[in-house]
Amino acid sequence: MLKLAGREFNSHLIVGTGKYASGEQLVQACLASGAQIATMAVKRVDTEHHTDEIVKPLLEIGVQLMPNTSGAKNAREAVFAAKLAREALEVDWIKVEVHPDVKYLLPDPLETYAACKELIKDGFKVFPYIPADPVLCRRLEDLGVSAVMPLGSPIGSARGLETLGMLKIIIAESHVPVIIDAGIGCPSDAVKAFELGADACMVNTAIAAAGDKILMAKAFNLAQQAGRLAYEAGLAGQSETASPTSPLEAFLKEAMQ
Amino acid sequence: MKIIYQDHEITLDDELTLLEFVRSQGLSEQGVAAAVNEEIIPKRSWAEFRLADGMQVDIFNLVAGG
Repeated sequence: MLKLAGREFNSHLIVGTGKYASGEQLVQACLASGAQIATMAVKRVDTEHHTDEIVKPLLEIGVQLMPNTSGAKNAREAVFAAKLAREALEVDWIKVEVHPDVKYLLPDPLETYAACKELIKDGFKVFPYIPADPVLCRRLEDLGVSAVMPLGSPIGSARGLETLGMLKIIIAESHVPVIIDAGIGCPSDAVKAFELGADACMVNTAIAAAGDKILMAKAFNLAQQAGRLAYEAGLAGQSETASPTSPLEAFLKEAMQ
Repeated sequence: MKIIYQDHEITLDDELTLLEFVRSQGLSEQGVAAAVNEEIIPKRSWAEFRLADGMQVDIFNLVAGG
């Protein structure tokens, strides 16, 4: 059971809604993934190009909406985007994303922190997308964020958990849920994150850019189940040397005597 | 009367409230937010909020994103 901001979810997967060919494809992938939380972005209405309605179909399948502040270059813009999203959706959840650099889309920790501080004061449930920095996580936790969302590797890079060492520290020390966000490229990356004890994983490109998106969504659904079960079961420890799984008595020699 | 809507200057024949303007753009109030001169106007105020010459109006909605 995943507990976030006072709500409970059976699935530990959060899906992003970008890069799908249609709203229908997105909904089918979302259903196949089993995810009960989905992110989306706030933008000015595009008066020239048609875009598929995504909010209503996601609400119809019972998904919790987690709007983000993607596109914000600083705290002020992130706060503005968050308030627009709340006004539009009547949802007080916000994934705070401030990444001024478009090449790597790495989050700006100072602007993110400042935005979180203001939004928490304003009553938002805040989910910051951040570098995998344990100290920053602690500072955000002290502010009152609802979870932390450290990155595994750059958004859409599919490079997996490059920040593994720091993620382990964050998971070990955090008192708020840890959502591994960004860079998860394949189901085994998600399994690894869950085995480490991550509370949730956020996946977008790995599903939306897969050959068969629905099949990949199912694979991630199974990955989150396997990874969480393994974590709850408790992994067998590692060792440098072998540990026999069969009796080592010299049965043949004894039988020949 | 002229306003700036999504960065484009447009001419309105009639005086409109923000609610009337949103509807005139083929949008429903649901799922959208509006800002005038970069200040968010709560939906409950749209019916009384009268647009004036030179105002910058932006309407936002939620789109696909990660």
